[in-house]
Amino acid sequence: MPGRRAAEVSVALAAAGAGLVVMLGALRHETGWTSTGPGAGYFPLRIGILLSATGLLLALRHGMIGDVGRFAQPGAARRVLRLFLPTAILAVSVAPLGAYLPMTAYLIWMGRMEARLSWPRAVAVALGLPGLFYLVFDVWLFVPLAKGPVERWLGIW
Amino acid sequence: MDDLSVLLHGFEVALTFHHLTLMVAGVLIGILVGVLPGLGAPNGVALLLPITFTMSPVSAIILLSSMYWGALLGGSTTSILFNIPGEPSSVATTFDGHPMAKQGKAAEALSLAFLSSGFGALVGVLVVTFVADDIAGFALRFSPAEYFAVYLLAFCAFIGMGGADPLKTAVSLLLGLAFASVGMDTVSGEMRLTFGQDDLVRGVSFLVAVIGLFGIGELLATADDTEVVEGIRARIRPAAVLRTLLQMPRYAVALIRSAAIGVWMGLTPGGPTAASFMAYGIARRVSRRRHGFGRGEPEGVVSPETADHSAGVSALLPMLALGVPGSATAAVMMGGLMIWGLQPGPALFQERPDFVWGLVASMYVANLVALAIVLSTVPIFASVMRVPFAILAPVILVVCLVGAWTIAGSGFDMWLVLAFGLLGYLFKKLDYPVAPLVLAMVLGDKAEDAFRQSMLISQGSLGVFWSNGLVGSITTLALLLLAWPLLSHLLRRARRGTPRETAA
Repeated sequence: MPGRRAAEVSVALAAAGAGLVVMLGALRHETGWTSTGPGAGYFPLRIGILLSATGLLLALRHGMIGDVGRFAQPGAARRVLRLFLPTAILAVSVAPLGAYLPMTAYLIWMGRMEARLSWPRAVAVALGLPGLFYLVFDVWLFVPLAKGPVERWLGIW
Repeated sequence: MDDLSVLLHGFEVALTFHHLTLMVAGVLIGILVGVLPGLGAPNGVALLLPITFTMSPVSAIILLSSMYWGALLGGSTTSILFNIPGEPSSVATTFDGHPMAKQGKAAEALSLAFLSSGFGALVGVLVVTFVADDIAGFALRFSPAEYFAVYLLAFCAFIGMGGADPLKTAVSLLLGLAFASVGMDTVSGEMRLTFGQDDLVRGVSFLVAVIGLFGIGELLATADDTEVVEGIRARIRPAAVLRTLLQMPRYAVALIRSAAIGVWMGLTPGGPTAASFMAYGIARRVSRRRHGFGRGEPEGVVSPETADHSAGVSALLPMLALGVPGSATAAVMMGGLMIWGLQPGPALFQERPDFVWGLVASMYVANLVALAIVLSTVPIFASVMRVPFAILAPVILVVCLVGAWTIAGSGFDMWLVLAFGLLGYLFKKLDYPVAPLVLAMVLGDKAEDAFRQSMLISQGSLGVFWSNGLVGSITTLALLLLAWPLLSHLLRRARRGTPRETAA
């Protein structure tokens, strides 16, 4: 785990970097005066400059004053990743695989591996929540959630 | 308000069976959202927005605003019983609310919090009722320059008075403005900041940002902590509520002072979070009972709760009348308004009085409904907190991801929501405020348009922002607020330099 100070400085520098990206994007457009007033790049360029300046100022301040303490408690990175990685896999598989199957797999994984639920309970959560979503979105609101190749192959969609 | 008939008509709109049902539903969802970690009022509104697209705007805003009132109350519940603020604006309630609960006065603390909330909400909605028309009428005279000045005031108020580190607030705000400018430029039609990515042409959805920042980010930050949740069981009996109600006059001064702070912070976009901290801080300094603060002093519950709710309610007024939301939740609602095809601003009062006054009337009714529901259902909702986080978190994350998907059914949004989740986690860990980013994303385009139109009128002279007394004073006030952190720092240093000042 990096220290608080390293984290503060990196995030501030990242903000300054983001400002630079915004500036570069803005420079592709007219950043001065056009026939319709300030050009398309006028506003973003100034936002980018301000963002970079603020980020650098923050980085400088945190680099100079020593923030004591840790960024997070020991073991936090592992706990956060164990929650984030499966969630990220679920998020990016919705578009190619549909919402329902990845959701069920995710809930079974989290229920068994993280919450240490018994099989019946884990399955109940993993089938119950998607079932509820089906009733709310597909049946009630007519906003069908994404379906994937498996549903098509089974011929239920 | 010129005559009572518009408000009465509003009550006719609000008091239909359909709308009362929506209020009850909204409040129940709101309390749940307020109690659950990772789901707060802004996120709740963002998640519910896609399902309001098929409703009439009045019904939709009644559902969303009722959810907001419920969420504010739910947030206080977990503050008192679990020492976990369900909403950022109920952090100050933990200081004295949780100690009270530990001393066995949980029911008293809860009913005190709810009744103070009710009082705060009532003051807020009364102010909204009586000054709404005046503010809208005043704003009718606004030209683009005045509008830009007001947006600037909103941004600067966050930096100067938001309570967080001014530089970090500025980073959050500027990032939001940058995200807002992604996509097609409304004036020239050029594609900005898309870097050739087709997915970015639509722009970055503020709803995706809200769900990522408030939902996923919050949960990741919670997973980071290992603290064991120790809740206190409470049941509120009608007799206890009545007893607390009879005690309320004892806190009259705190109630009125906190409501005034709340209304002020709601109207000038400081938001409920800053309002509740400020009300608590001032009460701790000036109260006769200040020595008990932090150890379970009832006034330490009354003050932040009153301010929280009066700010939450009055934050809707600048959103409706000026198009400048006074809180993150109001910002998300305003985004909703624009999606429903309504233009917030003074014209709304003339074109859609049924919408405006239906909402105002619903605020009276829904707050009463919310109070009644929360008093009777606290034990049920508190039991949600006893579900282990390890299973609660994945369930809430699934809700967030499905919410992000239903906005546009876009696979790219799913990557975005993850990125915003990580950003929210870092922001939370390093004390960057999130609300300014959301406000800036919603207001960015409007602020830029107002700026470009004013510059066109003035042929490129910045003098247009001081061209008359009104716009000049708003702009000057904004710049003063921006400089306030620096000024107060210098003042403090100057005062410390004088030898008369001894102990600080």
